Amino acid sequence: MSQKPVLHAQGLTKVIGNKKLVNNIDLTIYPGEIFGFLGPNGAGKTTTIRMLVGLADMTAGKVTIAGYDLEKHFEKAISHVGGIVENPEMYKFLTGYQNLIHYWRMCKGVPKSRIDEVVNQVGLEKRIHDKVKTYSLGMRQRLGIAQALLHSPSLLILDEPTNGLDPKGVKEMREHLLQLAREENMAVLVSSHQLAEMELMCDRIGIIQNGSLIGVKEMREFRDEPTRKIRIIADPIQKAHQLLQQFLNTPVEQQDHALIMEVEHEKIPDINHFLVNENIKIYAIMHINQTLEDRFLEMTGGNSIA
Amino acid sequence: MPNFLRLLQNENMKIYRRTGTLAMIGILILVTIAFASITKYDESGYLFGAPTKQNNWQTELQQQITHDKQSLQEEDLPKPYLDSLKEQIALNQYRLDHDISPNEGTLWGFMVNTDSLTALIVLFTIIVASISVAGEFTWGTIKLLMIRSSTRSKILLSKYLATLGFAVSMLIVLFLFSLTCGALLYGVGNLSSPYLVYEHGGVVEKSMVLHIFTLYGLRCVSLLMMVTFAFMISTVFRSSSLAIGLSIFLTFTGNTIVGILSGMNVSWAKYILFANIDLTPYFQGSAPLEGMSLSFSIIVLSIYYLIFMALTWILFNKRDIVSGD
Repeated sequence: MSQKPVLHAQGLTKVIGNKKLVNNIDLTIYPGEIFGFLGPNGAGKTTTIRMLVGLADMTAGKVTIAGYDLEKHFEKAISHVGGIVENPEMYKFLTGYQNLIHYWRMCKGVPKSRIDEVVNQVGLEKRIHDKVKTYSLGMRQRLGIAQALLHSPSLLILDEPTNGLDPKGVKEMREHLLQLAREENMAVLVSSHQLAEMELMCDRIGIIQNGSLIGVKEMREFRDEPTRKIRIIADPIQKAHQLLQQFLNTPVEQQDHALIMEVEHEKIPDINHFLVNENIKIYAIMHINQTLEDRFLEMTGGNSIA
Repeated sequence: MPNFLRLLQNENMKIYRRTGTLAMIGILILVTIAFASITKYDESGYLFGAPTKQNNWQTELQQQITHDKQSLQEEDLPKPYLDSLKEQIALNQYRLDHDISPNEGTLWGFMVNTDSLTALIVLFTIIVASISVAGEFTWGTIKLLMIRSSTRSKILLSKYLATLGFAVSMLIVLFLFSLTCGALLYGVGNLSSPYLVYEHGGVVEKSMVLHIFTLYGLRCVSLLMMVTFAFMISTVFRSSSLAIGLSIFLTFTGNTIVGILSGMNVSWAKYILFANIDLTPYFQGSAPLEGMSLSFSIIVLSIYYLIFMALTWILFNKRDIVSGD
């Protein structure tokens, strides 16, 4: 990407006592992209995010947001960031609208009409004057997004935004984030431990394990992969295994009554034709949906991330 | 600094939109009414109308003087007690000579007593101060507060000032409400009666209004110290219950602790915060403990104040914000 990055983190490190929670993380995020920060609980996602928004001091490293050094020019740098860290905690004794007024007062040069705009954007018009203690988690999550959008930030940082949401809420959140990135050219950093979720909305994914960033990949690379894993259920299985081994140049693995192999998409009809000609009964041929985790495991050398 | 004013607005919103705060104001008003009614009833046996009892205050004072003079004859009296007896006699004699009735049963007399109700304000302000910082940690809202473009110092200052603002509002409510209750129950006669002090071996007349303001003002000193203390505890421990509990415990036992320590002749007792927090003795011509003076107490209080403030600010600015879990 040729655009200037919104967020640039270099050598981000956090040490508490003799424990290295975050180890030398480099991160660059560009406008208009959704960057997924993936890792199991306790891998250091939240600690990293805390440092990115100035909630925690970094032991070493440098963070630049929209060109401003986070430590030296905190107020300027952070004014480009909107976010939710962990749960969307709000003042429960206030109404949703009063909560937004509270955060609006802390933004410089934003007209008050912007409050109604973000309320409409997250679809909370009907309940915005109710006290937050009557809100469901999904509504609080929406209110959290609304407060993060108040000052039209160039970087949106959301820690586990789909945590605790029902499937409908997750879908809405995903569509919302995609819209913000595509239409408003906002850079979005989301963290999650849910791989499938990330796969659906992220442009790039960085995987964090034991405090280290072990790989950053573009989602496109995964989607356009030339070969895919398939599973064939056939009878007699032994004969089919031998024949296929000769027919294909790739290894074929046998699992009970199924054969598993990695082939190019175009080759699947040929395989079918070949086996039928050899009088093998075919019950099924199907794709194996490799999870993001599997692929990351391959990429990162099989270290367990869970 | 319009941005800072908006932060103050936020803090005020968070104080006064809480049901608990409104309950505090309600309780303060109810207690003032109850206090006024009970005092009046206890003094005169009825609630409304000016007391008639003061008609024979001369005889009562005369009896008191005779009694005190008899006490003076007794041997082995400790010197402080002796001094206070002499002072009492001089003051009472002055009242008889100049026809100044004692303040019992008058509006001013009542107002002098209401200053003890500031203890309630100390209690409430400690709660508000403790929730102001620690509450944000308990609610988890501190994170969203800190990732806005305001420095931590500005946010902390807005919280501190809003809390002090709450204390001042409560004092004004108490003062005005006491004045109203007092005026209704005692009437507004006798307002010109002076406040008598025994100074340098003689009786001096002073303004009663000034005396009442001084009493309230001195209560503000301990209010300020205890609120700053609670503010510090809630920043250090990030727990409002601990801050509330510890501050209230010390407020109400501080004097006793100092008393016990000074009874044991501990030399450093005079450096304890609670030995200095009540400045009223200095204005009545004595000192809380031997070797203390008004300027000594002011210096000790200032040092405590600076330490509280420095700790609060340094910790709030430096420490990482971690979640409750």
